[in-house]
Amino acid sequence: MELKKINEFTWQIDKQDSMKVPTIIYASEKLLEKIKQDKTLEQAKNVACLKGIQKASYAMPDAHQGYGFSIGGVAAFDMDEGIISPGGVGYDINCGVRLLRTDLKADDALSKRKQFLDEIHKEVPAGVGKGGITKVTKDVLMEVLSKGAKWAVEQGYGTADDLQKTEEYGNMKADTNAVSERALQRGIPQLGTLGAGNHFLEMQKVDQIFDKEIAKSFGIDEAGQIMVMIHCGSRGLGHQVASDYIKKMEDKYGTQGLPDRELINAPISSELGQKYYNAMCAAVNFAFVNRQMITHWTRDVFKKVFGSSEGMNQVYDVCHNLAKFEKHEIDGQKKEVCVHRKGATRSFGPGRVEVPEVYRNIGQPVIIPGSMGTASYLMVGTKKAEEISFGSTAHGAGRVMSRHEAIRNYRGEQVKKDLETKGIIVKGPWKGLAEETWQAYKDIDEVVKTSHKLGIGNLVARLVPLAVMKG
Amino acid sequence: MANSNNNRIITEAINNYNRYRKPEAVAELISFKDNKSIIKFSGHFRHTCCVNDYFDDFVVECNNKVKIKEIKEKKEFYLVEFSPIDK
Repeated sequence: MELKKINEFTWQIDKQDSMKVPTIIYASEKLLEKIKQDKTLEQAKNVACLKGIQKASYAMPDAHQGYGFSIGGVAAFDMDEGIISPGGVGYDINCGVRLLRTDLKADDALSKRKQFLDEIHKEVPAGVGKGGITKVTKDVLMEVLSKGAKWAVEQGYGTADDLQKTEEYGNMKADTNAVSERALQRGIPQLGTLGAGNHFLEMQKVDQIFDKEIAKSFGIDEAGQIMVMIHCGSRGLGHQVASDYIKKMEDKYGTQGLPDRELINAPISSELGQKYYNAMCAAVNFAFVNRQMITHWTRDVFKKVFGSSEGMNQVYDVCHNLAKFEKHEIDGQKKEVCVHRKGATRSFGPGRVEVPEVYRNIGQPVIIPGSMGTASYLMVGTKKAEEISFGSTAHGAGRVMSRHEAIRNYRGEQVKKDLETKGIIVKGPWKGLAEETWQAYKDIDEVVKTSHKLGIGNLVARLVPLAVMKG
Repeated sequence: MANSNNNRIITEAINNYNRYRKPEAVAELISFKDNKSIIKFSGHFRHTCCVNDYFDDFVVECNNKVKIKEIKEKKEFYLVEFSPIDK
């Protein structure tokens, strides 16, 4: 596979064989070496063969191998000729990240971190097999799937300001009839849960500010300010939606002509394509509600531990896994396309109506979570991203070591000790701690530096963890 | 649930599971004894979010007639023990 260097951070596989467009990889040389270790490049090339793909198949700086599409893969498809693919969205639909600001300073928070973690552990259901503490009926779940975060706010789990500062304003229009009974049954006990795997809730402090003016607009006043980051998704409900529609699409359209059967898809304009889109939107809404409820409980814990949750406002909530209809400039014309972002973050610059009014002159906040023990970053979306990556950037550091290797090489107890040496306290299963150890991820500093230098997301602030609850 | 009936459910579930997830996730029967089955799950799903949802998928393929008893992570795969749900 010939990889052509376009510039320091851009690599291209030219259009060849059945490719309809080229493949573009955004990575530094260091990141590219890691990307080459699995099938990321082959997957990005396969996506370039799909019907109706526009401009190019893209891999973001943190790309790694996924199901069909690579994680960190971005592709946009023509609304008439193009396809929609569950593999291009991923199983954990709308896995995403939410960032909250506080008025608290690190010096005031450090002594109560353990109490914070103990309380948050009581309030927020997390880990394998942990069900939600909010019991909902099927009728209520249907409302959740239809209204998204708006439902949560109506129930007292947040504010109108939270909705304003959520991608899609916390709701994608969904026909909930497209969601199977099985998916509903998996969703009912999991509403308001963090889940297991690499999901977390983290108390952080602002370590460094790169752009004071934009940071201020995002609610960050100074270094040392306490922030809270929540990372979770649509749990089993989203997973079931993906499973259901992969089966349906295979039954209806088969896999003939596909470079990889994991790229099973349906025309966007088909009845089945529309049904998947609607079910996916319902799962997106479920994930928004999950993060909204966890936000509410986090505020409660703050009130209890620190005496107040005043000023604990949402900076933004971004999605990592979904397909959306967006307008982008293609061949000099504005055109509506179906953008698949799988393990990628939307990164819209100033002026887009999708960006909340409060940030519209600046660009949207882009939240890039690190793993336990590493920094996370707050960035700002750019016009450049709209031009060269369908308004997308990286989503996190990406995994370079298998879970087993992580467990074999880093014992949970040792990970906990190491983190404590760095001033970070953790709560979670020992095994989970080893799985998510920071050595298991690509260098997040390298990922965000690449995004920044490319201009597909500009640095605003660096956040470092103080206390982590692992799912 | 009778032994033979449970064995049939597990076998069919493995076929269906693999048909729609292989090579992302591959299920393989390792042992079936005293109505308990141990399934090996391999594939690159191990490197993605929410690993446990893939095991829940298997429960769904069994029409929710089994439950997860234990999950063990091995070098390149998981071993998951399922047992029938007593009605």
